[in-house]
Amino acid sequence: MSPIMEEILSDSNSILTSDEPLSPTLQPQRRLKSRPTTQISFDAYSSSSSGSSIKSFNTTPNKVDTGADYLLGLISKSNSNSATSSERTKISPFHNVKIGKRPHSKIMLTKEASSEEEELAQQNICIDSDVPLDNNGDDSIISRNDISVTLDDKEYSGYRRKYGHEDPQSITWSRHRKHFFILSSAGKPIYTRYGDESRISSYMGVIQAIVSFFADADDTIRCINAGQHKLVFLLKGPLYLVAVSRTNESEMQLRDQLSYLYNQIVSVLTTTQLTKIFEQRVNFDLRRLLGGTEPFLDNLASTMSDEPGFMFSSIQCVRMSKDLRDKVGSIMQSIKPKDLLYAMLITNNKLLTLLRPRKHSLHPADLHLVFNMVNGSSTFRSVESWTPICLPKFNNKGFLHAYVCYIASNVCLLFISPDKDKFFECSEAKNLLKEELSACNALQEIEKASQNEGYSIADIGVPGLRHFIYKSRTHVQYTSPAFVAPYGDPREKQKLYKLYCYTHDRMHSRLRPLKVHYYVSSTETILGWITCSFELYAVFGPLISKSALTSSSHTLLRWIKKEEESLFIVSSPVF
Amino acid sequence: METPSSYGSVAVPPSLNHFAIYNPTFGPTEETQQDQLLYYVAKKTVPMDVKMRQIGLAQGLINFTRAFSPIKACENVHTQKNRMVFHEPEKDYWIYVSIELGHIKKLTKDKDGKPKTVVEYFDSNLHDSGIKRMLEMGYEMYRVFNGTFDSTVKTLGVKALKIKLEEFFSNWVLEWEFDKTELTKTIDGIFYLPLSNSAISKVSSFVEQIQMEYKFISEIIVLWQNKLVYNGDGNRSISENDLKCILRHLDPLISEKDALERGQEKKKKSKEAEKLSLKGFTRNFSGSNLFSYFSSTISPSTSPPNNTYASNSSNQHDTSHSSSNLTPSTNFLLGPSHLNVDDSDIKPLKVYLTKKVTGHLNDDITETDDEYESNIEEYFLVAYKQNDLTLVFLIPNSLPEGYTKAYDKTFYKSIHEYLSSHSDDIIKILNEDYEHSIKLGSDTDKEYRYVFFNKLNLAIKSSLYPFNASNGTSSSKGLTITGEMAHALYDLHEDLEKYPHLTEIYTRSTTNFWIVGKRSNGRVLYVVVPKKEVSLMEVEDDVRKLSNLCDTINSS
Repeated sequence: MSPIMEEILSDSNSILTSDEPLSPTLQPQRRLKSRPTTQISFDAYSSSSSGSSIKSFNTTPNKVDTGADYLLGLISKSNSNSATSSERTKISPFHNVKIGKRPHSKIMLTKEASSEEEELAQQNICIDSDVPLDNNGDDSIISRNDISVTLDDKEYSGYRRKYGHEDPQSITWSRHRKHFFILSSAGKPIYTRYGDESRISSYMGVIQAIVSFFADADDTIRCINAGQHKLVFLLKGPLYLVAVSRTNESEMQLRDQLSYLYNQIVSVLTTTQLTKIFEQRVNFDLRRLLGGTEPFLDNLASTMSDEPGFMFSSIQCVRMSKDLRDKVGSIMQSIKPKDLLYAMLITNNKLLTLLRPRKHSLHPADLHLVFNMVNGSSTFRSVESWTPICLPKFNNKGFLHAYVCYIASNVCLLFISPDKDKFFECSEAKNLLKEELSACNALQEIEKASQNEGYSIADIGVPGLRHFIYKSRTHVQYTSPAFVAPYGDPREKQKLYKLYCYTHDRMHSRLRPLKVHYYVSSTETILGWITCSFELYAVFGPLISKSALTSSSHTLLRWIKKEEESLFIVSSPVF
Repeated sequence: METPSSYGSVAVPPSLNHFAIYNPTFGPTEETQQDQLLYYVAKKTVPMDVKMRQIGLAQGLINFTRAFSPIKACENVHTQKNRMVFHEPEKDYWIYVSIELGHIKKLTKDKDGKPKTVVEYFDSNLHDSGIKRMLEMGYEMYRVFNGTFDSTVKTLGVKALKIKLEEFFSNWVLEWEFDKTELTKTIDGIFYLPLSNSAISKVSSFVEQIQMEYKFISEIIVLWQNKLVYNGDGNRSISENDLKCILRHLDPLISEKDALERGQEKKKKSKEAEKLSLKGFTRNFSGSNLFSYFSSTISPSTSPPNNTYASNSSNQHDTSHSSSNLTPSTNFLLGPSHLNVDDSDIKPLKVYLTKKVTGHLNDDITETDDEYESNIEEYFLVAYKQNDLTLVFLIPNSLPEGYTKAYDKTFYKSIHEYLSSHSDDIIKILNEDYEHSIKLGSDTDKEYRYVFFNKLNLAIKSSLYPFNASNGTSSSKGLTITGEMAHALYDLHEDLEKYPHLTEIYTRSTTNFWIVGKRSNGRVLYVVVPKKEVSLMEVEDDVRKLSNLCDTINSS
């Protein structure tokens, strides 16, 4: 561990205690470490440092603990920093858990210790399939089947990006449809979506120079247009975030996406920590603290490119009967551990149910970060985890603690607590919840609901309607049917998504917002319609008449009204 | 954003920071960097090192963006307070403008009751493509009357280019009104006078006869007032872009002349000569001001006359001389002002036109540099006005006969005599058709707010001010729309340009007006419907009526 690291880590306590907390119970008390990769901060026992953990995997593939160790290595490039700074949690095979006495220790329970290979394959697919979706419209759409699942000793000694090896001087690198860069105000690279951070220093230097040229004139650069490309800048204190995109997304949409990336960093470090670090050392290389969280940034970057929830700043719920949702909610209510802030069940980036205190709602932006955390690492699928997380909209200065565990194949339970020591309570509550849900058959039902790909447009029976997105402004949730033909193909889906982006941007223009935006292209007719209670984006065929479109839209609205309680969480249980 | 405590606000329109033309290849080293700069103007004096830093930044931005977008480098930069727009009309020649955004300064009180100023900038009221179009039109005007940058450098040297740029741009760069980059300004189409079939054949035979008489005249363009009547037989070699430049140049000349003639009639009635010549003078100005609303903001049409006069200074003197004399014989808008001048005093106006690229639908998209380079042809431009009829002659410089005739006073005398005796019929016919065209659709023009634009021949028709106002004699000045509508109309126009596969867009603003854009076969109809309580289908009815009407106008 470098002296700088020690300095920062030892300082972090004082930073956090000097904060003004939201409320005493919510005050973060733990010391910062580089989360979430280091959530599992036990040392590999077979090797001297985690850096060599993969070796131990390969040499002793039958050892149970290396499975966990391997997972660690996969998502964490360098957890040595934190591992050495905190007392190590020892994990012995077959669920014999010993928990460190230090408050900062993190816990992971290995559930199935023998499935390394399966895990690996899963992880491998997971990483690879992040990228192609975003790549739509490009010539290289890779289906899951194309991905080879060969084990290569070197290849997987850590999280590897699909395009990590690319030379930033090459055309293949520069031609990516959407780059994201994060750099420090001193011009040090922190993150790049493609390629290797250490090789893009010269670009970062130019960006830093451009930003400061305008800053010197008391001005702020916002956007550059060059042909198909848009370069959007977001300056957040010590961090500069830049998107270079030819996806046709608007400046506003790209800037929102940069905000999400920034929030993701804050969720690992808190703003307090971030400011402090750069106050102390302008030249600090933040990658040392973020090391291992790239998968989450990568996952976020690709999810944002085809998931409307970010653009609509709202979330989607699993469609299920209100009775079932209420039943699950009340069971959760009954078993909730003490000092709980939020409890939720999520599946496939959709919310099943949410339990919250009366005073605190949960901002969609924070929910997206939670979703991204759960999706960004498949580790959560196999183990109970306890991890610190900062939810910037809730409190960007301190950490909360999240208990994450899958209670069914696709259903993930989260307890979020301000108290760092609640792992066991949460774990017990989980067991209880599982029991009670099974007892009344609800577990099976929600599992079934979670396996649905969503409802189909045919279920609605609105003539001419091909697809739609409906956002309830009152519930801050949106609903949208599954993408089926003609939008089953990822390329077609991406095209449609672009149209949604265009309409959304036009309708939310800052100076000239619209109520109605209707247009006809060669392949679609799109209606954007915003009232005080909803936003509707409906897609029809290119030849539909305006009267048919109007009546169909009203039919759709009636259907949504009728189904409102199953499409949305209309009343989340509070305590 | 209005706060109850605000007690005053000042709206400041967008204004020029600086405008520069440079070529980075002229000063590749640090010592020679200053040689890159060909023209620079700013609203306040700027030291050389600051200019160099601005150019350096511009070039830095261009190089940086090329890493990602090698074909099209940086086109514009948005900052919180400013906008930079770039245009590379010829390889390595960059025109670059920096504009301070329009903003509102509000005096408010902060929490403690202390007064403070809050400034809000309006980025989206300055349309990138509008400014880009201004730069393009500026360059096109320059090129038509001066030739390409590169050809000047090659034949006369960099210094000569600098002088030409100074002469051309200094007159109008500082007068740009950036808040008027609206659709009604940047759709620079051509106003056609719709003709009956009999009139069409009369006009073409009239033109043919002139060309029989004067074989060295390669092109004849016929105008009625400011409307295009005849533009060759379809095999013409001038591109629409160049034609627009010529028309833009002629517009103020025609209205000046009109004003002069009206002043002259009055003079005949009342004999107070001195007073009236003063009046004539002021009217002269107001006449051009009417146009300036349309043109000075985006098109440099007020400047090229200046420029032409500057480079053909004798011409200018002649014109002003003639206007003070008010002799009826000087019917040349461009050409000698006296028919008795010496040949040596005749300085015909040279224009540099591109050969028309046939089969090119998107003519208004600027051609690449190569095409400019290889396809430039020189002509002498002569314009003759009688009554409301204006005839434009293009005489190729490449023909030896053309060159001699352009400098020969007998040619001007002869054509003047020919036209004054032969054009009465045609004037009568055109006048009838013009009166007819005013009646046709005048009801529509009072009822609907629309702009119709045909991309194929750049024909434009509109009921909106100021399009209609340039009709001159039209009783109504055109319908007005609010600034918000004008911006929304421009947003929609930009979308149609950006997404060529869209055929129809209907938008309804939060303040409840509708804007519609409908496109088919290169024709675009824009409609503004400022009614509050109408549905999508009712708006469609209006649009359908209008598009039927525009189709009939277009086909006639």
